[in-house]
Amino acid sequence: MVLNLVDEGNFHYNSGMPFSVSHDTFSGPLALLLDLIERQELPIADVSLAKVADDFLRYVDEHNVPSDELADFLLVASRLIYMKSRELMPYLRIDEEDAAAAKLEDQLRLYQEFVAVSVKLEERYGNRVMYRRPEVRSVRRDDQVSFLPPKTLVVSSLQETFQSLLKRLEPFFALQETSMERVKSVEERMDELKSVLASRAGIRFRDVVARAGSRVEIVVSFLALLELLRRKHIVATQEHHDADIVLERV
Amino acid sequence: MNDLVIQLEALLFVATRPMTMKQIAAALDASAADVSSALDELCAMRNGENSGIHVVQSEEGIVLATNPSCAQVVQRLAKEDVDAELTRPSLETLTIIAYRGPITRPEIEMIRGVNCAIILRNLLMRGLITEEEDRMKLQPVYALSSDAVRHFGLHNVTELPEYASLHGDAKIDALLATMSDSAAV
Repeated sequence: MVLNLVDEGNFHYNSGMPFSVSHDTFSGPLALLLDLIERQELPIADVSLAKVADDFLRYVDEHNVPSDELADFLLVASRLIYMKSRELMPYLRIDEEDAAAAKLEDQLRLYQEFVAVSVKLEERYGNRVMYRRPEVRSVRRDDQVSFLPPKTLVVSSLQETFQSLLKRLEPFFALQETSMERVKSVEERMDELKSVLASRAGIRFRDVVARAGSRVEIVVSFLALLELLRRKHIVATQEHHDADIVLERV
Repeated sequence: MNDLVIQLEALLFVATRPMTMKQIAAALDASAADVSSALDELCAMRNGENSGIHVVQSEEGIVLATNPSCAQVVQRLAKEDVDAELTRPSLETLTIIAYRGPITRPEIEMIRGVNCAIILRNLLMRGLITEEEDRMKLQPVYALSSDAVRHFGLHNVTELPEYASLHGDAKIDALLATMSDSAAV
């Protein structure tokens, strides 16, 4: 683990008073970072960020960060590690990373402003509510049973509706039926998955590969799934080890 | 007093949903400019401590609502659910949208530092924010809903504390622009 790498050998420094990570859960890496900095009453600056790098890493290590937030935490973690390394070895600088580190500082300051003002907003919520006239729905009497179709309803409109429903289901059937003569690329498979999920709430991975002709096709589908996950277009859940993988649009 | 102002008030009284400026102009058969100044006049007339009815404006449109100081009394009769529970992440996201709305999801995520897809969906379901397609930005933009503005006891988001400095701050805009250049994720 990276934490060990940095702490090994000769690179020790005194980070001030001993500090233990709280067990609060934080809504994002900036929230955590801000908390670490403010608890030690440090200003938002490079030096402070480098100081709290270890605490930040320890938090990520010890807590179950939700999988959809993990990438964001790791991004900030990597910036902090760089900043800490810069403190320890000032002669080793990477321009790109310097720029990114400076942005982290600005980003944190901006976030702090919004957090401050969100507290004021919280006080206002539900406290001096301005009610509006309720929407009144017409109440139908129970003893009156009547058939009130819309005026424009015709037999052909029922047919059209059913046909358009079938059309919406087409991509789903196509996904299962494709006997791929050549193996589709991951990109193509991703597009197929996205269009299916555009019209359906969820889909099981087993359905996606139901008619796969070869193992390669299954692998392509799985790679497409992983890439869509990485891009946060979909969410995948699996109840237990051998359960179905369920894919849902974000 | 101007006829248009009177008609505007009557219209808003009857409307069951917030009305957009466009809808009002069509209903009153008036120009956008005329409607705008009628609205200003109506707000000046109504949004004070001596009126039980106030005017609330949001991205969704205009709606009549009760004087916020009457909240306690009205609450006994009101049929509206004001869910006063806001989690920290929801509150932060709502704050960003309130001050910087209409705003896109990537911009929100840049300020919060973490993705907010699920929170946005939640806030949408609770009717606290609206989602509209923005032709310039080619992606959905989010703003406080009329319901949210009312639940905060505001006539308008511009009444938020420090609104001017956080909403139109050139420094923030510049920062968001530079952050989007190096967005890694």
